[in-house]
Amino acid sequence: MNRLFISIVLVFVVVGGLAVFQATRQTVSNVLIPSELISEKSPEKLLRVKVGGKVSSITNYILEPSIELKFNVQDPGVDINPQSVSIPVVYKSLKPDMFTEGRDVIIEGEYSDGILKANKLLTQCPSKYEPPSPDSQYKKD
Amino acid sequence: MNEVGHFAICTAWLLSAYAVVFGAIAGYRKNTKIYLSVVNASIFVFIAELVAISCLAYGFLTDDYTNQYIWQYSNKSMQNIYKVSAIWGGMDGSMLLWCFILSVSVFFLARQSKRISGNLMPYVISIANSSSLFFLTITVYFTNPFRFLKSIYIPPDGNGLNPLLQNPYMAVHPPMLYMGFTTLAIPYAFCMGALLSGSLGNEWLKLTRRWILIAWAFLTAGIVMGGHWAYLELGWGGFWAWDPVENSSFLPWLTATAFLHSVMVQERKNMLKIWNVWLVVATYTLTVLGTFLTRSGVVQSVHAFASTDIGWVFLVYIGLLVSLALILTVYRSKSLKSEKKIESIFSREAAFLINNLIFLSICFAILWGVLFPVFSEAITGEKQSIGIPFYNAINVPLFLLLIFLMGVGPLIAWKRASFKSIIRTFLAPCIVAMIFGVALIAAGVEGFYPLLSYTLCFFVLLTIIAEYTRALRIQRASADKSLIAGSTTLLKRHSNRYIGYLVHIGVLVMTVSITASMAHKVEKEFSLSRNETFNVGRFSLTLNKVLPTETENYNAVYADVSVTTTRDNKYYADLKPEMRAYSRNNENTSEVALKMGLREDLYLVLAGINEDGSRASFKVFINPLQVWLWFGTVIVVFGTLLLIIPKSKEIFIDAS
Repeated sequence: MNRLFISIVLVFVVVGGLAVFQATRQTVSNVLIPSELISEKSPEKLLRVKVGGKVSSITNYILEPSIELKFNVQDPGVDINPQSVSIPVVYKSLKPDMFTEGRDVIIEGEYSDGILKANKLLTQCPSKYEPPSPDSQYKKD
Repeated sequence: MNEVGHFAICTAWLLSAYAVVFGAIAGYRKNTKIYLSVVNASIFVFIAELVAISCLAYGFLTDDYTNQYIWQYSNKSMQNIYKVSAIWGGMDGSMLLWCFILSVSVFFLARQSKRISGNLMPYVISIANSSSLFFLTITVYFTNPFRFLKSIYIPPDGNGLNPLLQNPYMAVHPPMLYMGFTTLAIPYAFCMGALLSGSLGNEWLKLTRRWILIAWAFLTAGIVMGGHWAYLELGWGGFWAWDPVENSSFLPWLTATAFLHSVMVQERKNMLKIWNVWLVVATYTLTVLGTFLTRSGVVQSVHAFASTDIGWVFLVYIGLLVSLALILTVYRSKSLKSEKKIESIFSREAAFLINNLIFLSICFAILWGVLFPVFSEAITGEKQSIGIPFYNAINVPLFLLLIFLMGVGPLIAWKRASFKSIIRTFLAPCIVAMIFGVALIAAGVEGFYPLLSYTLCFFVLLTIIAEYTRALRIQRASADKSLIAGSTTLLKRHSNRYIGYLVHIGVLVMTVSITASMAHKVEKEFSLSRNETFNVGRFSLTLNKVLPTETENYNAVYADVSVTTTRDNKYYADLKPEMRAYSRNNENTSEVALKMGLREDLYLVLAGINEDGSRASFKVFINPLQVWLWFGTVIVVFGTLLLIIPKSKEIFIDAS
């Protein structure tokens, strides 16, 4: 076999592997849903979190002095329910497209003092949505 | 029409199954009669799928709400163009579109096969049809778009396509990407066909290269158009977010690009044969893997299609693709041995190998990022993910290294470059590029990566110019005296090389634009009352008025903002960002107002208005050199098309 070929490949595997390992350690965030977020005991795990949840209510959207969106999220996949766990979110930027109550969102940020400070807020992309069955809509007619 | 469509896809399924089995038999028995019937079957698969997709399009255009899929994704008030594009608005229709486009590729393959003799083509057509068969199986059994609506009522109107998808780029970019993805099935077929038939000469490589170039052009255009759609529509001022869906379209692009480079080493030196086989295999497998990841709900994405239970079918298919390639590589390992070795790290072979390894490293890092949540949960039980900072940390240095090699690779000598020749070739461009870098620092450009990126791009441009002028000087000295005659001979004689440089220049333009928009983007929020002015960059933005507007589909509010240049108070643009409320879907979207310019894009989003409509709040982005990303892409795709167009000589060789 070709020794030079193998050594070049090896260098790439080792250096690349180390770089990927290092970058992963530095940027990894914990993925949680609101109820897990509240019951999480170790605070260092909450410094960088990615939370998937359903918008239960939009509490405030102010434009001045700076844009700020406040809302609550609860666990995804269930109907909005005032009894269930819900956490307040603050996002200091524009309300994204398709952002409404009942929509699933992904929030990246930091959870401290009972508030989730979002750096990034993503609403699920439209192609995800399957509309409800027509019977539920047209039975009333 | 539903019944006709359903019948058509079932017919297509049967025909492609026939072509898979009898293609292999024809190849094994070297039977021309059976082979011809297989070619014809492939052509009829295309016709059947044309009928199927026409039925679906007809259903959309005539508002046939007895069809569940049409009811889900269309309504009467939509423009006809979006009724047609709603075909790929959801999972079922996009799988049918996938099948259809694949059948177009197989159709052209079947036409082409008549010109190619030998035992290669029966196998190739058989394998290509196996891809058709797989995706048709998905369409017929799992995602049939011709299902009737399960309802006792025929609804008077449909749900309608999501407003964000009602955009020209959204109508165009998925088919573009699918053309890229499906075309990649053909190189895989060639590769397996060559291994099966044992005709591992340069012929399959040449044919494969052309098919990969076609796929590559579509893929490049599709990926960038998707980014353009996000930029215009999503209102966050960027075009790429390392989302799993974006990533999974990027993965096969990376391996295909690697192949397009390493194939030159095989053509010239008969090296890297197994390597190239596996690049082709990886490219197609990654395409299928990407489809699997985004359609199965395994990976959480903002784009992900509704979760379905077809994941296992894809996994089985991926397993088959890889096992077939593995068995055949072992079986043909003798004829896949390299005839030469890499002799020195200072050689073109080594440069190409390192280029390939970088492409694969980027590919691996992205795949790692996409799959990390899956691994993490499986191994530690904790859900974790890695995002944009990870991708940037790994990929930025790797891409810059690639740019550097783009300057070195094409110029360094084959086999072993002497120290003298390296100095002669690279000293001047190096020095000039360094001076350029220092000038950038003096001009106030900050940051290590931006400076490095601009300097490297300039270095590559210099090497291209230096190479061309040297070749031209030799040409003029030996034969043609005049500048124009010399250039024409040179460009004609080495057309592929210079088209390659053209593509590289396009990539440089894209790189400069991406660097500028990453490093020097300006982002500001502000609020204005009527006739108030806000200054940003070299512009002054004045709010004239806030007005409501209305269409059949939505109610909207827009702000009328006039833009002048701050220095000399000259008119620059009128911007009208808008906020829309679609009554039917209860969706709110904002429409970005965008003034593109050669120096920068001015990108204005309406954030909201206060209760009495007297004040409006905005977010503004200034994206420097943004349009050059689109121009660069046009150069790249145009160059690739030039490479695909058959040159008269080559056709002759292909046919022989």
